[in-house]
Amino acid sequence: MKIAQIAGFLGSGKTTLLIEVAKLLVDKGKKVAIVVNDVGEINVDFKIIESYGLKAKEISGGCICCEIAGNFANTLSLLYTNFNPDIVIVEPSGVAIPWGLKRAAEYSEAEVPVTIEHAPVLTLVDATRIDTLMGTVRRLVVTQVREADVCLINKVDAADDARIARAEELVRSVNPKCGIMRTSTHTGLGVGEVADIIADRTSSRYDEAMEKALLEKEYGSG
Amino acid sequence: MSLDDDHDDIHLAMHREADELGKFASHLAVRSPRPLSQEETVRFLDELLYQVTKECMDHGADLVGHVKAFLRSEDGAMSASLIDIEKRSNVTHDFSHGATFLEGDLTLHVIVHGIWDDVVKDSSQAAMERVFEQFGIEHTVLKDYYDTEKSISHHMK
Repeated sequence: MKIAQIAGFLGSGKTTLLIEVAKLLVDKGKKVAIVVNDVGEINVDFKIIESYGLKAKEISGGCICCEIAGNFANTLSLLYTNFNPDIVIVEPSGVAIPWGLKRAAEYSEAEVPVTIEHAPVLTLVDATRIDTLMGTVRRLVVTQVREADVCLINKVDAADDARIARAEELVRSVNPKCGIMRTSTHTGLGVGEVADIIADRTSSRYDEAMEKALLEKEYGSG
Repeated sequence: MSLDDDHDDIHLAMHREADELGKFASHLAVRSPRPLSQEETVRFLDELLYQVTKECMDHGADLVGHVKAFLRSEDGAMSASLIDIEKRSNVTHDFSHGATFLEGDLTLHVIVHGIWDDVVKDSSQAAMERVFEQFGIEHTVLKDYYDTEKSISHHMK
């Protein structure tokens, strides 16, 4: 069972992209489930996704990479038992750390006979608001970019070239190894490629030593 | 320092940053004494999100996280999202042509940066009352989520 994370700050277009990508994957014959997480107890995105007839589960009231990691593992176990999806697309809360979510997903292997693999971690960066975001919530944005395998510079149809260039420069400076793609769900740019990345490519499993090295490089050894 | 400690530090920092986002959510039953056309219903949701956001910005918010609404009725579902107050809302729906709105279930979720939850709540509620009155919508609050939008508390054990 493959886990695909679509991360990004609030308003970056996660839900809209997720719905379009999920529909494409279903059209390709994949069994797709969606898990939506919010730290609050109400989740409008879940209601929207469900209204498209997609198989969705909601995990609210906490962040799935830390305080309710067990709930996430249970949800994956239930999905495996009752629906057996090929791909579970996860829209994490705005404060989830991607490798924490990988670790939480792998907990489900202790509950059911499933092997978890991960699609590349995708982080959306809103090109239209890059300057405002970096001025107010820089730490959140940088941490999500740092942990991505591919960053999607989103809403490029509505952003000028200078903003798109600044968003790409941010990604290159924070995470030089990260792939960069331009996307727009409004025009459909890149949506098919995102579906292909999720379906065809994988990312490493949770590796404590690797993560430790990454943290020390980024923040020092403490 | 262990990896878990490192993880906690970074995660705590992220939660702190997220806690600088003011949040409010509300779940309501709404009813219109007269049938609202699909276009009027779109205008209602758009105006609701605009006025809620504007009220928050007028009270000190400096960034919209997201302001979203989801309306479900017998005739279909309608969702609206506002990210940038200059660009109004993006509204999508599956109402069939000619369908009208009479009553349904409305969920509103507001996240903005720069003001605390109590200001978001007061601003949202003031704007909601105004817009409900403007469109003649009757409403009952089923639940508001002011006290349950928590994120940092589990790190404070």
